[in-house]
Amino acid sequence: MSSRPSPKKILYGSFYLVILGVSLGILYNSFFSKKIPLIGSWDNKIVSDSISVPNSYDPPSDPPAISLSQAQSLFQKEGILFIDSRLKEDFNSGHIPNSLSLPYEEFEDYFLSVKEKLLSYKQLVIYCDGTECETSLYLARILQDEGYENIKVFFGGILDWKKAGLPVEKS
Amino acid sequence: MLRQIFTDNYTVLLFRIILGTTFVYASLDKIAHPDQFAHIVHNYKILPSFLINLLALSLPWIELFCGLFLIGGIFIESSALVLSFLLILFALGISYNVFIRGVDINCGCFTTSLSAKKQGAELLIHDLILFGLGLHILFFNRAYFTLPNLYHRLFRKI
Repeated sequence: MSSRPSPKKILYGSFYLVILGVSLGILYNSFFSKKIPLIGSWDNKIVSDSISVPNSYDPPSDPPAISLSQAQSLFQKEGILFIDSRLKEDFNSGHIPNSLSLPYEEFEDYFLSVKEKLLSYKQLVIYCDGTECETSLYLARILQDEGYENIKVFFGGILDWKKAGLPVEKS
Repeated sequence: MLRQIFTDNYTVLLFRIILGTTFVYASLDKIAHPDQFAHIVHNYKILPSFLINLLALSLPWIELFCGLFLIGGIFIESSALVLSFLLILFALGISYNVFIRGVDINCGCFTTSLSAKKQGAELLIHDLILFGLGLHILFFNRAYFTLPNLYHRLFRKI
C-alpha cells in the first residue's frame, strides 16, 4: 500500500522532525514554570586563589571554596571531616581516605545516622567528582541550612585529588 | 529462515515499538527537568556554552516525536534516521568522556538525576544495540501496521 520513500524524502522528513522538536522545545519552555534561558552561561568561574567553580556557585552566601593545596593541608589536620557527596557505589570505588559518604541524592536516608557525628568536627570539607559535578555544592547548602558551620567545598573533588597522585581509599 | 525472520514485517514492527518506546520514555524526565538535563549536557564538555540550553530544550522533544512517530508508523524512516543519528552522537559523547577524558559521567539517558548511576562502557553497548534497531528499521521498514494504513482501511475503504 505505501511505497518506500526516496532517500531525499527521508532526509527532508528528518529535517522537519528536528525543526519540529526544536520549535516545540522552545515554545514549551516559554510557557513552562521551570523555564531556563535559551542561552545559558555554563563556563566555570574563577574565584580567589584561582579556584575553578561552577557557574551556580554564589559566594558569600555559599560556603567558601578551597583549592587542592588547601584541601591537602586540611587533610593532614585533626578535627576535619571530608564528606563525599557522590553515590555510595562511586564512594566505594575510590574516595579520599577517612572521608564519610553522605550521598546528596540519598541525603534523607543517610543524614540521620551521621547528624551527631558531624557536630564533633571543627570543619567539614565536601567534595564530589570535580568541578563538573555540583552535588558537593548542593550538599554544602543543605548542611548550611541545617545549621552546620565551618563548611568548605573542595570543587576539584576526587578527580583533582587523584590527578595529584594523592592517596585514595577503597571500601 | 533466519533472514526471513530478520526482515519480517513483525520484526520491523517489534523494533519500531522497542526503539520508539525507549525514546518516548527517555524524553519524559528531560522535558520535566530541562535545568537538570542542561547540567548533564554541560558535563559532556562537548558543546559550546551557548548551545547547551538550546540542545537541552530541543533534544527531548525530538526524541519524543520521533519515538511516537515510530510507534504510530508515521515518517518511520525519517524518525529512525534522526534517532540513529542521535545514538551515534551520543556514542561519540560517551566515548570521548569515558576513553579520552577518563570521566564516567551521568549519561542523562533516562533520568536527569544529578548523581544517577553511571555506566560508562556498558552504556555504549546499549547504545549500539539501539543504533542497530534504528538501521534495521531504516532499511527494512515496509510500513506495516501504521496509523496511516489503519486510517486508510477504516475510512477510505471503498
